[in-house]
Amino acid sequence: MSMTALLGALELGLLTGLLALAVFLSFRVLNFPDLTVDGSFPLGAAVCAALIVAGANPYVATFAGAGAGALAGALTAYLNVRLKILHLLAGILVMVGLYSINLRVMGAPNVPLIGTHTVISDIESAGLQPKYALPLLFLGIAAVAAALLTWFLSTEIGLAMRATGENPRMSSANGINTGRLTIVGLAISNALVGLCGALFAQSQGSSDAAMGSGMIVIGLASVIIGENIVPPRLMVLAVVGAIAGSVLYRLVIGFALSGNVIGLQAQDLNIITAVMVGVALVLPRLRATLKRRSAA
Amino acid sequence: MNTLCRAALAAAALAASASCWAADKLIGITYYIEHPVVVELLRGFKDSLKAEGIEDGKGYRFETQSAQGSPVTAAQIAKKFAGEPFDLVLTLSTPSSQAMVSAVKDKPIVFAGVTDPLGAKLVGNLEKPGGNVTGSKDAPPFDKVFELIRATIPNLKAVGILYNAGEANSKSQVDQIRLLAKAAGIEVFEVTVAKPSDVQAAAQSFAGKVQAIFCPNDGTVISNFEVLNRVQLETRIPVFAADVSTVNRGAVAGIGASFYQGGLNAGRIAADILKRGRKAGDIAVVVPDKFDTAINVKTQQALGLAIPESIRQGAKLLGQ
Repeated sequence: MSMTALLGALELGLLTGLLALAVFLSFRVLNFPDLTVDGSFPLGAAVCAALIVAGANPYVATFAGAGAGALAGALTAYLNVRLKILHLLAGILVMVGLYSINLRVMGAPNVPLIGTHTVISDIESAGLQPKYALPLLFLGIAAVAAALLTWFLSTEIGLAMRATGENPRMSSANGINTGRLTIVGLAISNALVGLCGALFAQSQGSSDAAMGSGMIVIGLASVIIGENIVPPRLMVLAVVGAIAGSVLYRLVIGFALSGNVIGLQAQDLNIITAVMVGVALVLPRLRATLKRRSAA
Repeated sequence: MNTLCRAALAAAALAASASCWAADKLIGITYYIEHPVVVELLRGFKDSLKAEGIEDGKGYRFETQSAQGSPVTAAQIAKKFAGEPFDLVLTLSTPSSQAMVSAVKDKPIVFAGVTDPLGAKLVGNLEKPGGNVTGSKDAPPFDKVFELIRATIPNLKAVGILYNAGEANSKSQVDQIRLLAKAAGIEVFEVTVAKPSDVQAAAQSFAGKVQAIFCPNDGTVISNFEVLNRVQLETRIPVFAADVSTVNRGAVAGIGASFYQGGLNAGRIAADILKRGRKAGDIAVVVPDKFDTAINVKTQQALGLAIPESIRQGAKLLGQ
């Protein structure tokens, strides 16, 4: 892997770290398998791109993308909490519906942002080398998001949210409004996804209707890898682990992209990635078993 | 001793590989997702380079990467290519091309399989693109396909169009087809699909409404053309295509520049850059100008459709 490829993997891994935080919040904290992600990611991108093309300030547009994601998440939670639709199905309904909404928002399947004033182009025009500046920017954003999320989960509302995920029946018996907390939690989670989509569209030069597919898989893989490399004994470790997992996942794909050196072909990418992630998940346990055996 | 031996071997191997690679020119190829169109484009690209003496392993090295449908991986491939000493990069499909154009500013980029490079902001000008980007544009001859449909079905009143509204290439194609139909006073029924599994139900919904289905060069539909073909035979509504390879797969007839030709054109541009030292920004975006008419005899007989002799003459007869 060249230096540029390594920095590129870091940049994308830190950016999708936001997605990993979001999936950590929904799947792990709230225990809510939220599939809205595949729709709220392109929604964030679509809203942001449409606003930028309409002449809005790119920073405002980026936050609007996050806001739109929050609405999508709140809708999924509402369908589940108030209308009693199964959580998986609620997420699927919103995700499927968002495909059409995103096309409406963009007015076309693809809105290019190449050569447009964006958050990313500001960094380039400030004379900074995007190769180094973008990983730093996304590191900063991921760090701020991680710090805020860790802090939030230690506040009274945050603790109530964790209780909701751990044991909803006990929580509501203790006077916690679990329904409202689920709505707030999914709104925050999908705001992070929308923000990630908005930034991604700006960094790669377009918002595309097809860009949401497989996002939930990336988020889940990151969270699970993170739990393996950073044992989530404290909340802050779990949060940092999710981002670290996302970066590691990108690095794995970065190595898989170099598979041509050993005679692998382009179509082998996904299987190499799957095998490498699988090995990364099994290794720590294997090492622990070996250690135990040698101790005995 | 053992370590020393191994180190020496490794150094020798490295030197050997470095010396054979040092002189090689590097060509990077990337596409968004595995697809019949990608196969044809790549075959054309490689054939046309071969004719110029440019082949993988003979002074040139090709590196191919697929994003396998993931936008983040497409971005990662673009960033990887930015860091490697490529002499030329070929990008297929709109999203992969956009990611590459955003990430790579110092190497020539040639795109292919893109219908609207202006709308996608890959280039600012088709005649003289400037910058480091040029390529081969798809331009399906919809007017000719329309003439073909009207000649085959004389009292044509309504056609159906099936496409994925989420594909940048399809949007601009369907806009053109709609205009042509309106000018000819033909009603258009549009059905959109979002994923491969939608194709069957969407195609079946045309039954009783249209006399012909116009199949644009849509990734989702073409990838799953066998489904559309089955519906064609069931409902007996003929499907017309704007490219020849889709006729080979079962569409009753079509006129188009093959995707293979688009690949050939991209290869010719690449040879101009690699061998004749031209700058990408100085080379005009190539639009196909050679169109073939094709008829699938098997489908035609199954549907019992009569195709006028004037069209049969000079047409490629496929599916026999």
